[in-house]
This record gives sequence, C-alpha cells and structure tokens, in this order.
Amino acid sequence: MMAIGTVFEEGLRQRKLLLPWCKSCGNYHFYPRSACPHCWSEDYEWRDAKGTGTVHSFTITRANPPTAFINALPYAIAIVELDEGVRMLTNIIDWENGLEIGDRVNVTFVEREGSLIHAFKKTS
Amino acid sequence: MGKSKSGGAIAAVVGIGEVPTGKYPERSALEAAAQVARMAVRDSGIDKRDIDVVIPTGAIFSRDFNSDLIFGRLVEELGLSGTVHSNLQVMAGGASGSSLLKVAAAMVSSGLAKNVLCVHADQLATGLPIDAAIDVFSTLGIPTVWERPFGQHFSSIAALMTRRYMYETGTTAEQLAAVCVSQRKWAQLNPNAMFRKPLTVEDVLASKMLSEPLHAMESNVLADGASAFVVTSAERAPDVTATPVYLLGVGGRFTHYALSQEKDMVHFGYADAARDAYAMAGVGPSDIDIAEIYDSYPVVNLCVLEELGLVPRGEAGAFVAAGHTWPGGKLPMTTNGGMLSQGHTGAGGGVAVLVEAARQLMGKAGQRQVPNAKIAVETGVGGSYMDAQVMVLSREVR
Repeated sequence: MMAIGTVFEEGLRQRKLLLPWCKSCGNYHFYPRSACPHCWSEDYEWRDAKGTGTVHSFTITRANPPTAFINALPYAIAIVELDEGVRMLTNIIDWENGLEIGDRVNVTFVEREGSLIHAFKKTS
Repeated sequence: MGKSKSGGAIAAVVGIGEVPTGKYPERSALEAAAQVARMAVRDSGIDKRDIDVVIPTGAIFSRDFNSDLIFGRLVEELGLSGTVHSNLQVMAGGASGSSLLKVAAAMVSSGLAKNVLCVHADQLATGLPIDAAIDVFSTLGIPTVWERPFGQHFSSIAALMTRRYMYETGTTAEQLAAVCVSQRKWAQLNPNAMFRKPLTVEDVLASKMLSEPLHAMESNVLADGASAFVVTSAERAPDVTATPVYLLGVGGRFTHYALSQEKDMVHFGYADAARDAYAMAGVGPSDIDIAEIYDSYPVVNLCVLEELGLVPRGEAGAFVAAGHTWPGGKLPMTTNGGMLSQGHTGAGGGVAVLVEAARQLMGKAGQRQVPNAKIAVETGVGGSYMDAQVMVLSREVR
C-alpha cells in the first residue's frame, strides 16, 4: 500500500485533487489520515474532488513570512471549504482583484519548488 | 478529577516566581529557571527538601537545554537530588501553565506527591540565530505537508482567525487594536514586562501590515523569560502560607491540530471548557473578578471573553474599547500585559498568565493589584489554538 501522502501527491502530479472517502461510513475527510477519523475504518478509497468550494477565511501576507516565502510576497492564504464538506488550507492565486469570505472558488495547480501544489482561483 | 476534602478546592498554588521578560543575552535559561524556582519555593514557605516532584515544561530555543530539563539538570542545579522523587516534563505549548497545574493538582490531591514545583524558562529573543527565530513559529505546530507549503505561519493563523471573527461579529479594526492598548496599560504597571511605553489605537493601526488584517503591533514578540509556581494540597496549603490560591475548577477541549480542521475558528472549545470549569468550581461568569486570558493576538482575548460568558457574543470588541478591561475597569483582563506586552516566551506565555492570576489573588501584584480580587479565571491554549484550557482560581476554599 502506498503511503497516504504519496497517493495525494501523485494525484497532484496528474492535476487531480483526490479526497479519501470511507467505504464503511460514507464520509469524506481531509487531510488524509491513516484511517477514517469518523469511524476508524481503514477501508477508504480516493475520489476525484469536484474542485469547487467556498472561501471560509483568508489573509494576504505582506510582511514577515517564513524565510522560504520572502520572494513570494505578497501572497494569499485561505481556508477553503470544498463542496464535499471538507476544509483545506491553500493559496488563492487571483486575489488582487478582490477577495471576500463566501467567494466561490475553483481548484487549480501551481508549481512550487519543482512540484505541483493545489491553489484556488475565483469562479468567474 | 475528584475534589479534595477542603471544601471544593482541588489543590492550591502557594508560591510564585518570575524574572523580567525581554532581551537578556547575559542570563542563561538555566540560570533563569533556577532563579524562578528558588523564588517560588521561598515564596511558598515550604522547605526545599519537601519539594518531592519537579515539573519543567518545554523550552523551544534549544533542544539540548530542553533535554537537560527532561533529564533533571534543574533538580541537580537546585541541590534537590536525593529528596525529589520524580522529575518529569509537561509540555502543551501555550497551554502549558494550565496543563502543569492540572498534572500537579492531580498528583497532590491523590497523594502521589506532596509539593510540586512547576518551572518554565526559555530564551527565544537571544538564544536563537535570527533566521531560526523567524522560522520557529512558521514550523512548530504547523502541518508539514498540509499547511507549510502554502506559506502558513503564526501571523497568518492569527489573521485567518481574525478575518473570520470580524466577518461573523462585525468587530472593527479599532476594537481589535484596543486589546493591545488594554494589555499595554497593564504592562506599564508591570516591571517584568518587555514593552512599557504608552500605546494608542492609532499607533497599532499605523504599524506595518503583516498578514491582513493583522498589524505588527497586534503580533506578539519573542522574548527571554522564566516563571515558576509551587502546588500543594488544599488541606496543607493554609499551614504553609497565609496567601494560598485554591484551584476550584478545570475544563479543557482539544478541537484541532491543523487550523484548517477547526470546526469553529471563531469560538474554538472555550465555551465547553468554561462550562466544565465553572460547574466544578460552583461559580458562574458573574462571580469572576479578573480574567487572566492567554492572549498572543487580540482576537484571542475577544473570543475568550465571549466564550467564558463574561461578555455577550459579538460584544467583546466594544467592551474592551470602552475601557472595561483596563486598570480600574470592571473586568480586569490579562493584568501582566500578556504576550502582546509582557512578551512571548514560548510555553511560558501561559505559565506567566497563571502566575499572574495567583499573584493577584495573593495580593502581591504591587502597582497593578486589583482591589478585592477573590476569584480569577485563567486560560491557556496551545498550538494554533488547539486546546482551550480554563482554570478557576480563588482566594478562598468556598
């Protein structure tokens, strides 16, 4: 069995946002755990997320970031609630034209340090 | 936790010690730890040979120093080898003060220990290279794979919470800044505080924007510091000191590890924790004379004031802006100046507010003494506000 994070990262490489879905209790969870946190079943499968969600909160970091992010300033960090009901921390890439809590967003994929990570942009 | 025979009290804090918080490159963390330990034991009136358990919390600046604490260097430094039964570490980040007290109280109330010395020391201002200091709070407690790659760090954590809190409550930037002003007014009366110059709402709002809507002056500053307290049983307490501080109730809720997994990042677990603590103590919010709230960012104070039932939900910003939490106000809050003004010493921020609660109830708070303070509520919380801890402390057994 592949490590939990590896499956998720392999999904990102294929520009897919994968979510663990429990075959026992029928719930999604995120971030991926060693077993379903709702019912402790280890029998879960990976499903393609719809890739749509809502901004739960966000911030634009303008100063004093982690040292690895000094050249990325300014950047937007958000907690997005996916339509599947799970929340994830991510970046918003087109925040310059305005961003509000409750905005609808779509997943996209951006390169950081040689790998793809997820990010979101406002639904047009 | 069961109650002792001394009325409703679980245990008692009988001695406290603290050194000034700030930049002290010449003062080693060990020296500071030993100093506050001696202060606390002397303050308690207990003979040092009767301290049978020593519990240091965690130090962040140095893995070696932290290991030394685990393996008993402090016990040896204090000359307590041979009389101490156990040396162990209790580390819960910012909840360490509350968690130390919980563990110590359980030990003394069950008879597993007689007198427990709880100690914190760290050197976050001068003990780390500058780059490492910047990155301490963008790595510790932030999930490696799920949050760090997006540039998450503690200012952005506070900013995400603050934005959502403002959205749900209508709280203004000026009201949030007023929390910093309240803390500073107390710090001006605290010789151990790092920042003691007067501060206005305008100063706070004019400071650099770190992560919107969080300004630089709404962010705590890393500091060197140390504090300690001694816990004994409620039965023994009045025999060793004239100013025992009784622990009447405890409550806690762990609600997340990764901030993104917090179900309610406006309220966290405080309401449930407070309900448990008040029920155990047999008191309610209207009985509280002082709220020693673990701050670190202004939004935390506002959230906690509301969740402890001290102010109606959504009204804490206006309450603080009106001056009710300042010196002379009707609900003194975080009277040492908190981490926003006394300084952020790592796990020690929570130890400092607990020591301050005891100090006020002992009547030893000097210029900032709150007259007739009988009952205090103290809070601590670790990580990205993962585990709301609420303690009710009292001058009397009740």
